[in-house]
Amino acid sequence: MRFAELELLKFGRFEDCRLQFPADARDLHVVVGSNEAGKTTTMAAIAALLFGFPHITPYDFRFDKKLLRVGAVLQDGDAALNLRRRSGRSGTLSDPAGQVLDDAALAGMLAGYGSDGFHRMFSLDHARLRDGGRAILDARDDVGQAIFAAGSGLTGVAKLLTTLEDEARQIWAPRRAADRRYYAAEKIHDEARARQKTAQIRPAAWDDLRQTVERLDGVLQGLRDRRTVLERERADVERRRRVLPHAALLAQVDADLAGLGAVADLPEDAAATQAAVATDLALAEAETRAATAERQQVLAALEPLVVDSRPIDLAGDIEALRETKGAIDKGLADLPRRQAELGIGRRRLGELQHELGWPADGAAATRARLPPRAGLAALRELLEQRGGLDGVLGGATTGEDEARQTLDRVRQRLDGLAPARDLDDLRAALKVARALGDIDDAIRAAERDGAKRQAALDVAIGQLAPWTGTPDQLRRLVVPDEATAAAAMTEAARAETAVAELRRLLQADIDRRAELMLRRDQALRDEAGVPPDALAEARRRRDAVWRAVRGHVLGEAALDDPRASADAFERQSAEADGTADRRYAAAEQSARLADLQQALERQSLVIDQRGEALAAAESQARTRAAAWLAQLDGTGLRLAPQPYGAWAGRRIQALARAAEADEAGAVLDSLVQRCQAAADRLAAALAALGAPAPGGSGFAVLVEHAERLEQVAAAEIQQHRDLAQEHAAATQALARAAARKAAAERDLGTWQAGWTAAVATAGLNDAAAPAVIRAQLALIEDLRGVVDDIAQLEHRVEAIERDAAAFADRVRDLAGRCGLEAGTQPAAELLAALARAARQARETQTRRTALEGQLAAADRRLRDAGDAGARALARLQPLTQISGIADPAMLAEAIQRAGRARVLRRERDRLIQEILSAGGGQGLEALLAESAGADPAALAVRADDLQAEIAALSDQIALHTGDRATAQGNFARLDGGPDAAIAAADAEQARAEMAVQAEAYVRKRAEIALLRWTIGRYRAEKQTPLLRRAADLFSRLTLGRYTDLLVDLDGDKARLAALGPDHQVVPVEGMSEGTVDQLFLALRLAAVEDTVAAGARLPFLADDLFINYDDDRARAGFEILAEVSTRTQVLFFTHHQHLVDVARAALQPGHLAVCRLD
Amino acid sequence: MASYKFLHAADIHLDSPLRGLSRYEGVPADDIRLATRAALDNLVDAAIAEEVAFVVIAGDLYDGDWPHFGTGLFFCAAMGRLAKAGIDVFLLYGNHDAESVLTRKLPLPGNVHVFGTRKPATFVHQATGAVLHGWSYRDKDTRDNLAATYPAAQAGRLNIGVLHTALAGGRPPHAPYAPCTPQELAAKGYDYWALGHVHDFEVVSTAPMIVFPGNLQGRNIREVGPKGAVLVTVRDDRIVEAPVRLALDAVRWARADIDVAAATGDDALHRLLQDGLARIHGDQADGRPLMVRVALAGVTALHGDLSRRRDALREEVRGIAVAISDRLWIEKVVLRTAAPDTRAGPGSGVLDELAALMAQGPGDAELAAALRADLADFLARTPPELGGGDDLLADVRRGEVGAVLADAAAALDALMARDAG
Repeated sequence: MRFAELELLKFGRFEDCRLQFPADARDLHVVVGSNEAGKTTTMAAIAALLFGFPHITPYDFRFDKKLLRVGAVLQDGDAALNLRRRSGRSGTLSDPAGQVLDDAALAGMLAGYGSDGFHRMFSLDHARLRDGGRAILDARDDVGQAIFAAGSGLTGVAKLLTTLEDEARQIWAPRRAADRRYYAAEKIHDEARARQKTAQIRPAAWDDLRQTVERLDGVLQGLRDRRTVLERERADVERRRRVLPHAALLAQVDADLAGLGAVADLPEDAAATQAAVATDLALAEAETRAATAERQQVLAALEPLVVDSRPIDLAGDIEALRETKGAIDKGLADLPRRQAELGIGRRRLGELQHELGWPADGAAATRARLPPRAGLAALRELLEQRGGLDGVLGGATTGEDEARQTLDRVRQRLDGLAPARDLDDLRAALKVARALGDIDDAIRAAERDGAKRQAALDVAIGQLAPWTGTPDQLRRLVVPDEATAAAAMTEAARAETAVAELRRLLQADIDRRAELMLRRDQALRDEAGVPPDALAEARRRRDAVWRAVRGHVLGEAALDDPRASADAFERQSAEADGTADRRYAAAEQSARLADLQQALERQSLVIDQRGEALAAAESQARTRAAAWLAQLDGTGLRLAPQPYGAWAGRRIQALARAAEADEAGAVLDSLVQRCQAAADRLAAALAALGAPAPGGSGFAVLVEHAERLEQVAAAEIQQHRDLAQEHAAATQALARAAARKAAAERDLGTWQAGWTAAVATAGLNDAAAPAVIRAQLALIEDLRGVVDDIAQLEHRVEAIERDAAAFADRVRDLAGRCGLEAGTQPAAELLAALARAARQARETQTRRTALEGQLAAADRRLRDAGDAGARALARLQPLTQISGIADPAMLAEAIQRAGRARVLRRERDRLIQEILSAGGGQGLEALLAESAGADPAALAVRADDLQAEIAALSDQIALHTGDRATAQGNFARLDGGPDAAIAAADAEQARAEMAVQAEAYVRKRAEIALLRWTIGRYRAEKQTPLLRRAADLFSRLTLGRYTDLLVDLDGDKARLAALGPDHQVVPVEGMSEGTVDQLFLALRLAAVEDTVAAGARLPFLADDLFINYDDDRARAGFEILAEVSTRTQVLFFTHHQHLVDVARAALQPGHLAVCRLD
Repeated sequence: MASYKFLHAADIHLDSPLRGLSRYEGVPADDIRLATRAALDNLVDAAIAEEVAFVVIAGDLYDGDWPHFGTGLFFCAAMGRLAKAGIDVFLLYGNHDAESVLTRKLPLPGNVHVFGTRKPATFVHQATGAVLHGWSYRDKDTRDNLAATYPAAQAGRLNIGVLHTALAGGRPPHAPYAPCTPQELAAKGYDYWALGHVHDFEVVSTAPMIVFPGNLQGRNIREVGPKGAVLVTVRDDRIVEAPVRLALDAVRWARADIDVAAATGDDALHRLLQDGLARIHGDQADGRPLMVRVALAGVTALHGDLSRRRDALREEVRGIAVAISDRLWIEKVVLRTAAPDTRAGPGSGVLDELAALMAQGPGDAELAAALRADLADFLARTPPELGGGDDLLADVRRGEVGAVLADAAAALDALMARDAG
């Protein structure tokens, strides 16, 4: 279908505008108009023609909507359709004569396209082009879905591709990054190489250092040689300086020795020997004299002293008797007391024998009668056991009695108790009841809540007036749904607004007409102008009279009064002519009046139209209101949508209140039921226990009653349990007491048998009571003590008397042996005389021994003094023999000279040693010769010079030694260490890792390339013809910058992209705005061609789509549009004249039709 | 002297780092670093232990481009140990030594006798009377037949020719330096030709004895197996016994070709790898750290999966190796498996269609060009020698991307199958 002609009869600013589009092989028409010329209006007019006027149109600003008219001549093949379109709901199509046409005539040409579809596909301005393009990219329309169908199966592959890309980037990418594995290995490699360079020794460096060391060795050797020479000379000088003073002294000593002449060679100690001999001789002589005098004195004292040896010889015996005498004296003094104690004991013996009934025997006989100690001990032990046994038996008997009494008491209490009751049911019922809490309160609260909610419900129901009814009726009430009500409200509001607006406009129109009328009347009054209607009225009156006159003249209808009619005609003619004359005479005023009149008429027409529109709107509103009310049938409501909205809100609230009231009622019912169930259970449990609750009591009273009963019964149960435990304990206690009593009785029997045997063994009266036996045992023990004491005292008295007699005999015997007369002297006195004689004899003997010692000592001193004098004389003998001088005085002189010579020789020897010591190993003669005639001062000067020179040399050597040590150290460090080799090995390992990563990267890139290639091939094979055509158009529109379009994959999403320069895949986001426009146009034109090929051959309208194109691209665009126009008509609207020029340049003459709107 | 022994070694390449070993946790990295030094120490130890009369080194003592003088000092120290034991050394410089600064600068101990570079030189070993003839390389690229001008044998003595050569016809990949034929050498009338340059042990001739001892320490995966020197026994100035090869290498290289065709899952695969690696370690380590290149072969359904997870596979193999020995180092894991032909034909799903298209990729020139262009920047920014001369990187640098695309196809096939599954 194509437009052969388009008529803008009344549309927008256009009136009776006709655009013609002549048919040609290329059906491309550029419609040019300046800004505001009406391009957009024209496109809207086309849409209105094809699909009808919209309800609201912006193009009725000049002509009322009802007056809008668009016409066209459409061609579809050989068929042509000349039609008009007016505004309206139906029957808006007509032919040029106004004959209504069936819509089907046009619909057949539209191939099923509606307004939206047409605008989206065929009628594009820049905004719709972009919107449509975006819809394609997002696959929101058929075109997009067709394009992206090829990529739909590649989602997983796209993810894989992304993964591979990520993995490849983790290995290597042009941008260096530490976390990329290749670069990490490379870093290690570079560091190792750097270490290697640092560690390795260059041959030249090694050679340089070696030569440095050798050179320094040479310098050092020269310095050391020179220093050796100087040090040698300095040694010579110093030696001569040292020898020189000693040589002078040696010469002096040699002269002194020569002066002494011949000297006897006496020993060095000759003088000392001579002096010591003289001293010793004097001392020997004095000692001899003193010893002789002492000897004579001792001899005189010895002569009167004589010694008696007998007492001395018996002194031991005498001393022994003196020591014995003490004991003898003590015994004799103790004897009377012992004898008195013996008498007392014998009396006590008699008393005890009497008490026991024994005969009055002596102590020994009594002892023999005593029973053995073991028998007595056994009796005492049995007596002690008897007391304990009696106590145990008594206690056991008492315990048995008490246990029996206790058992009897418990049994009596147990028998007195009522039987225990089973509380399980009651407790279970109470548990349920307690779980309800304060159920009465809860029920009361629920009742209050229910009442409150019921009141709220009543209020809510009341607010639904005029509707009345129960909540159930309200729930069952069928009312329009919310969307319908909302739509009705919107429609009603819109209609009300429209009616109000129309009324406002109508009023304005009426006001306007009144104003016009006022102005016209004013003009009539104020100006001479004749309004057209006044002239017309005058002519109408003239013509009316003339028709009557003419009928009379022609005989058609006779006048009653022809003359009067002729006069009237003349008058009316004159008046009409006069009016016409006045009108022409006042043409300007008349024209203004005419304008005012016309305006007044138009305004009247407007008012009529406005009135019609208002009536239509009101009618429509009424229809809608009726339709709305029809929806409320059966509800009892007759509310307009707006109040219905409020009512519906209140209905929802009322329903909510009803639900709340129901819920409160349900809560209350539930509480009451639970309360009743618990009460029933409690009552049953109480009845079972024989304690029914008092009648008519509430739930709380019932619970309280049950709790009290539960407490009482529980106490009873506990009492039963406690008494049963007490009974068991008392029974066990009685059994234990009886057992203890029987054991005590057995023990007493055993004791009695043992007692009888023990009494018999002790020889006591076995008929006697244990108490009697106990007393006899005490007496026997006393008797045993008394007998023992008597025996001991008797033995002691006999011993004292025997010892005193023997002592007296021994004293008399000893006195006789010492020559003393004993006579009748008591032994004690005689012993004292013996002691005195012995002491005197010992003293005499001691004095004599001391004097004999003094005499022997004097004799020894005499002999020693004689020996000493002889030895002293003998020591002088050698000196006399050596010197040949016997005279002691001459011998003393010889001894002095010999001493002097010896001193000089020693000095000479010392000097020679000094010289040799200072001479450094040279001979004495050479040293003396070397020093002979030397000048000490000159030698000192030379020594100083040499010292200074050597010091300077030493400094230089130290300096060079340091340098040499440094050089040697540096050289030594250049060893064959492995650091460089290790670093090289590390570098090689890192390089190997680089190779591994490089290979991994190459493999990864190969996988990526292969996968991309495969996807590309797949896409190419699956690419739709539509996309291929779009790609071709896009390439042409972009002047070849983009070569192809493809469905690329962005993650898991298919997207359209283009192959740009260097085969780069450029997504839409990467394109400039102009390029995106060209892409959208290419896609749209391909889609249009596709649609046209499918049979929908509708004209393609383009509203200035090249505004972002440069001239070259615009030229390409026109070429493409021309190509498209071979398939369907293309109407290109623009207000750019230069685009027309571009189009003309691009297309061959005749291939472009230009139509101007201006 | 009626009987004595001498050692013949060559191609020591002292301090030359071992190549191709990526370090990872648990490998004997320290042993690797100084392997060539340790091997030289082993040589000296062996000479002293065997009480040899002298040692012959037939060239390539150093690496040509190695500038570190410390290497020479280490060599001197080692020779010093031989001097203390009274053992002389006869040293001939090979092509690598010719370009080494160490050769020109390093003063050698007195027991080391270096063959000159201007003409053939002859040394007489005084203690044994043995005569050694040799000519050191003056230039690296020596293409002349040096042996041709060696002097005639001296009658009544043991004559040893020392020569650095690949012989006529060469022994790739060794450069054909100093070419000569065994017949020419035999014609000299020497008793023993101590050759160097070829890194594999080879007895070229037994009459006379012409021997390559191989290098002292393998330095990359091309130099697998035991490496060391040759111990030669002389009786009455004649060699009457076959030379004895001494393994003196400090670490060793090996290849483990493991057929995984029987593996149907990872567990079985790991068992095969475990068994294969344990076997090669037991057979070849000889108490030394062993560097192994593992090649998986066989037609297996795991092929695609293995291609897909090469990195993970490498880590798995490394883990298995560490578990066997902390002296077992996986140099590389190479995949030579193939997929069984189980495809029933092109399916109708997207993945099937993609797979069918993908299979055509490796042969597509446009794709190859695109890949080359894609990799151009990367290859330009990475060292040209990276990865050696016979592997995938080298192929790619030569523009040969067919193999890597074929591998990529297998990997992608497995990846898509995994994602789909």
